[in-house]
Order: sequence, then structure tokens, then C-alpha cells
Amino acid sequence: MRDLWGFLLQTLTVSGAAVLVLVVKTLLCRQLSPRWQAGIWGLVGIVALLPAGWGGRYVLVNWPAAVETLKAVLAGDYGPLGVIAPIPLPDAAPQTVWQWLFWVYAVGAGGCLLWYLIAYVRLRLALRRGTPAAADVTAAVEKTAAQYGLSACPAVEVEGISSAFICGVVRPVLAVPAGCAMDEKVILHELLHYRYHDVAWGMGICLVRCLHWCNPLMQYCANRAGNDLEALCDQRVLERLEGEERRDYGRILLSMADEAYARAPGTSSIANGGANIRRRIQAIARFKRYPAGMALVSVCMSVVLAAPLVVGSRAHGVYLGEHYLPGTLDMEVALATGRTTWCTTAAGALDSYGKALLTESGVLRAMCAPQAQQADLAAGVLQRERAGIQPEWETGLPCPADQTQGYFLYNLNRVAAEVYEGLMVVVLSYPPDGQPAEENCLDIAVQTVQAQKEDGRWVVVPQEAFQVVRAREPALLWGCSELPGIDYTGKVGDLEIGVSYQTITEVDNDVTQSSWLGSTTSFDLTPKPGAVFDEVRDMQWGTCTYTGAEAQKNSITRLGFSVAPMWERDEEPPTLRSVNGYSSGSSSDGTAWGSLSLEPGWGPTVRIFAGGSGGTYNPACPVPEAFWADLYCNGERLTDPPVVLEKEETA
Amino acid sequence: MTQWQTLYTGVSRAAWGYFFLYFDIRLGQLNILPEFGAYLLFLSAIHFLEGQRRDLALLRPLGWLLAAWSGLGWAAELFGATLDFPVVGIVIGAVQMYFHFQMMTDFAALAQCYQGADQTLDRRLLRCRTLQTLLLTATTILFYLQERLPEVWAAVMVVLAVVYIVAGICLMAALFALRRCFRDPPPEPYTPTWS
Repeated sequence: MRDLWGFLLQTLTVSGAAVLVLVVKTLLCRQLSPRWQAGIWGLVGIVALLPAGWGGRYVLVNWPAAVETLKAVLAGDYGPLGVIAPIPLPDAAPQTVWQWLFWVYAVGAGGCLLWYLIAYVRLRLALRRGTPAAADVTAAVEKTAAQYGLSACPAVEVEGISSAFICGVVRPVLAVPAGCAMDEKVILHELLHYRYHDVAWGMGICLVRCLHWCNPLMQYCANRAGNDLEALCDQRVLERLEGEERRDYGRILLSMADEAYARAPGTSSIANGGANIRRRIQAIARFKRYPAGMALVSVCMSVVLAAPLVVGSRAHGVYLGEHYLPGTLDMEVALATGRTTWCTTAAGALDSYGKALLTESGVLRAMCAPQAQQADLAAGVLQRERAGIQPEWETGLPCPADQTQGYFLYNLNRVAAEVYEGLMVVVLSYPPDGQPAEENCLDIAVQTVQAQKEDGRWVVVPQEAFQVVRAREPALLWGCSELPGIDYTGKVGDLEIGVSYQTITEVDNDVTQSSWLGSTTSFDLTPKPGAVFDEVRDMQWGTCTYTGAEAQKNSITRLGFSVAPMWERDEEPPTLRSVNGYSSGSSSDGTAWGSLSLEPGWGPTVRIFAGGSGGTYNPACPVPEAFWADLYCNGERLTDPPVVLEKEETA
Repeated sequence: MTQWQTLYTGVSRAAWGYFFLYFDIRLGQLNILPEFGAYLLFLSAIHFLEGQRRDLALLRPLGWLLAAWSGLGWAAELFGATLDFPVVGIVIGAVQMYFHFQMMTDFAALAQCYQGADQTLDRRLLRCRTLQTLLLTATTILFYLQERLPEVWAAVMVVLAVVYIVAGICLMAALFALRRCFRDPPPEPYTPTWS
């Protein structure tokens, strides 16, 4: 915990877990054994030790969104929210009121810990000053230990204590009141504390007490956990006693009901205060041995509760702002849900960015914006909200995008271990800058974007401003020759041949609605922060450019071109599809071919084929190393073996 | 009602309760075998059987809670809504697990008292109870591992659902077999009459 917000997140998370445990314990207080009643606090202990919000997860309630909203509204802080460790680690001198408050908390936690430490050291010193237990006490301890198969521990007699207790974890001692005869059942109780390391559990409870010293709920839970440990020890004692001895044990507890509870760290005492003892006596009256089968349901119920508390949940949706709250508070809440909904995949981040562009939603952009851009993004969105300007987010597009067409992700390429780069393409609703529309053309906006991993979440970083392109294509699903691709070129005599290669990677965003009129498919605008790429299409265009003397060009009346991708450098040349007739096509293995009849005066550049195929997405995003190519001129094959078209370096 | 009839009725209600719990028959939005019906039948079974097994009475408040929650869910579904309260769902899941575990334990104890000398109904019921508890636990764990096992999750859930239904049928069969123990009352002890 580095700031107040981290502490707030941690303490709310632990409190949520504690409330769940308290509710289940209350419902099943008479049904499940004291072992379960005490052991289930271990789950709260685990939640208290795990950093809250790790991996973009939350426990039971979306506390990160709530704390993020408070942080933004109260402190205007859009920095990262998170807990790196469940202990206070202030990293800077306090300047703001929130930092001062965190320092107060940190000093309080340290002071609390110090207080417990001093109390423990003083107690140990007092015990050191005590006299070794008299022979009869030592004999009683050893006899009780031997009778019940327990280990004995050294005993000391101390003046001024009212009841026996075990003190210490490393070298525990049994402290007994000086000059008082010890009942065997009290010794048994303390030896059972010693056997089951209850002092160590008590110290764990002390630690939680210190870390959440200003949270009354956690103080109450720490008390309950301590009392449950005592009740468990009672159960263990009663399981070893018979008939009248059990009633005697109850009477001993009753005799302590008026004693004050002198809670000391690192100790376990049979007397834990009047109110608690009354509850323990009621439990003794209900005592029963739980059958062995109960262990199964106890463990299974603990697992069922542990799964949501330890694994947690991830936010899958965001609040887009419905103006339920006054002023800009509604948008602050919406943006906070965006910032705390982590995109867990590159596809999820790019999908959120694409949908942010389509819907002009700052909340969706907040889901995938780098941390460094969050403050500016929030400031811009809130400023527009205050001024009543729509849309809420300035996308950088020259005009709104056509939501029905969705977005397209071209040439997605893995450029580093956790960096993907590609072209984000959206279709514009109308031609920008008042230009006239053209039939069978699409006005599209294109931007190079990178998806990167930042502190465990995927974000999208635009690499340039949008460029507007007029595409002479009816749809963008099968490539667009006006958009850049990866170019491969080679030369055969006076003919320069090339292949332009594009990929279009998709997240499945189709929503099909069926009715008696038929079914319709639309684009799903709901963000999918954990999306995976579903399908990839690759497209190739084969072109040929004549570079020789113009006089000889007209002697070429037909060109044929056949290509196959080279995936590895050392592979053998394949046998490419022969292009003797007038045929063209492509195959799912990446091969493409075509031929073209030429009229005098052609060119100098002609497109000979366009082909493509679709398939399942490969996370490695492979791009061919090169292309194998065969060229046919007037029906004669000019390349034997096939030539290699090399990838052109992009600027 | 004789003791024998009480036992017969109590076990019958519990067996039919499981029928309501494991099977869904829908007429459009309407589930005609609602879960709350199952819990009302279990509560009725508890009413008939608590004289035999005192522990069953401890299940009554839990039974009412489960009936109320599933009734709310049924009503919400009828109006096209869902009760989406994950935290309450966790509490209900834990209570449900204990409720069924304890009820089956009590039925196994009843079987032990009343089954024929050559019958092992009690063990059969305990096996069903254990399987049911483990299946509920496995389902919960898998729900939280959904993100980590996206490829196999759906297949595993289908397998679990099939096993769950089979286990439910076995459980109902065992309860109906237990009911048969109470169908024919033991012969009245012979009391001679003098005229």
C-alpha cells in the first residue's frame, strides 16, 4: 500500500470477505463444528495477506471501481490504483491532505505493532522474573500431558496473574498464578493451545489488527476470531473429557466470568472476558462430537467460499454513464469503471479501442488507454461533459464512424514479445470536409496502432493521426488495395513482379437475431476486455510492371503469374500451379495464380490476380518470409526454378 | 397418522423434492418444476421426520431461506429478469451444500435404523451425498477457473452436468427405495383376547 487509496482498497476488500464469512458463520453457527467456525477465519487472513486488486481482480464487490471514483473525485488523482503489498509502504514525504492521512494511518499501524511488541517483551521479561513452577505444578503438567498424549512445556509461576496462559511461539512457557493450585482441565486447555500453535494464530490476528487498526469491523472480526480459537480449544478439551468432568470444566469457565480480559499479544488465555465466557458456556451446553463425515462438508464449504475470495472476479463490463448521478459525478464513475476494467488480451484492448472509436466513448477508451494518458483523457471527457458537448470523447476522426460496419484490423503483426502493431480501420459515416460521395466507394479512416502490455493490462497506443482514404471497394472484409500491405518484389528480365500481402484479423463480434422474417446479423458494440482473435484473412495482389523498351512491350500479349508463400528461408522451392490457360484463383495454403490477356499499349503496370483465404487466427501472427513466384509470358514459363520475391523494407 | 405413515410421507416428499430440484420443465418462461417447490417439499419432509431425527429441525431456517431465495429467482425469471447478486449467490451456495449434506446424512441414519438386514441403503445414500457434495464443489471451482481453462471449460461443464443429473437420479432412486421400507408396516404384536 503506497497511498491512502491503496489502503482503502485493501481494507474494503478484507472487510467484504469478513462480512461474507460472518454471514455464513451466523447462518450455520449451530450446524458446523467449532473447528470450521475458527478455521474459516483463515480465508479472511488469506485475503488480508493478498494485495487487493491484483491482476485487475476484485473480491466480491467491485471495490477498485469505487475507490478509483473516490480517488478521482476527491483528489483529482488518475494515477494507478493498486496494492503491491498488504502493508503500508509510504514512498514520499506527505504534501497533500490524502498523503498526510496515509501517513497518519501508516504511523498508527506502526505504533500499534510497536505497542504489541513492547507489551510482549514486557510480558516475557516478567515471565523471566517468575519462579520455576513448584514440583507439584510441574508434576501436574507432566501428568496431564502424559494422560492425554500431549507435549508438556516449561511452567513458571508469576505473581499477579489470575489465570494460566501460554506465552511465546518459539520457546513457549506456561505461566501459572503463583501459589494457586492448578486444575487439570485448565492445564489441559493450555496444553492444547500449545499443541495446536494457537499462540502463532493469535499473533496473525494481532497483525491484522495492526494493519487495519482504524477499521472497526476488522477489530470486531479479530475479537471474534480470537474467541473462536478459545471455543475450538474448549471443544478439544471436551472431546477428551467425559461426563461429570465436562460439567466441571463448565464450572471452571463460569468462575472466570467476572474476570477482565487482559488481552496480550503472543499469549493464549483460558479467560477471555465475561461476555465471551458466557457464549463459551452456552456452546459447552450444546457440545456434541461431530461425525467424521462432517469433515467433508466442512472442507467443501471452505473451498466453495475460498474460490471467490482468493481467485476473485474480473470486471467484464463497464458503466457507460446513464446520468443517474448529478453533474459530472456520473461520468467520473463511468470513467472509473473503464479504468478498472482491465483488458487482459491484446485482442481485448484493440476491440475496446475500435469500439471506443465507433461509439465515441471515453469510457471505452479509458479501458485501453495507457496510464500516462488517463488524466488527459478524463480531463477532456469531463470538460466536454460540463460544456454539454457531444460526443463525450474527441476521437481524432474527421467525422463519426459508421457503427454498423464495425472496425477492421489490418496487417496485425507481432513486433515484440508483448507488442502488436496493426492498422485500425473504420468506415466514415459520410465523406469528410464536405467532399461529395462517390458510388461504390468507402471513405475510411486509418491509423497505425500498437497494443502493448502495461503493468499487467493491455493498452492501445496510437502511433499517428488518422488518415482518410477513399477506397474503391464495397466492403473491407477481404482487403483493400488502397491500404498499405506488405510488399514483396522481384525481377524477371524487363518485368518487375510483386505481391502485396494484407491480413485482416477479427474478433467475433457478430450478433445474430432470428425472427420469423429470417435472421439478421449486426455488429456487437459491447466491449470485450478478454476477447480473443477468432479469424484471420489474408489477401494477395499480384502485379507486373514492364520496365524495358516501349517498342518491345506490345509483343507481350499474355502474362501469367503464380505465387506461393515461403514461410522459412531454408525450404525447398515448391511446384507452383501452372498458369497456361486463362485461369485465376487462390487457395487456403496461401497460393494464388492468374493470367491476363493484354492489348497493345498496356500498362506499364497490370494487376494479374487478387486472391485470399481465411482461417483460424495464429497468435504468432506469421508473415511470409518471401514469396516463390513463376512468371509466364505469352504462354511460356520464364522462371525455372521459381524466383524469390523479397520483402520490401518499410520506411 | 401412524409413525409408519409419517415416515413414508416424509421420505416421499424429500424424494419428490429432489425431482423438482434436478429437473426443469418449462412452458415458455414458466418453470413448472420450480426449485422453491423442492425446498417446500423438503420443509414438509422435515416436518414429518424431525421426530425421528432431531438434527433435521436445525435445517428448517436454512430451508426457508433457500425456498425464499429460489422463489424470488423464479418470480424474477417469470418477468424476464434475473437475480444477479453474486455475493448472495455465494452464501446461498454454501448453505445449499450444507443443507443437502445434512439432510442426506439424516436419511442415511434413518435407513440404517429401518432398512432390512440384507440392505445397504444407508451406504448408498451416503455415497450419493458425498458425490453430490463433491460435484457442487467442483462446479464452483470450475466456475472461477473459467478464464484459465477456456478451451476445456465448456466440455468439462457438460460432463459435470451429466454426472450431476445421473447422481440426482441415483439419489432419488435411493430415497424411493428407502420409502419402500415404510410401505408395509411391521406386523402388530400378537395380543391374545379372552372371551
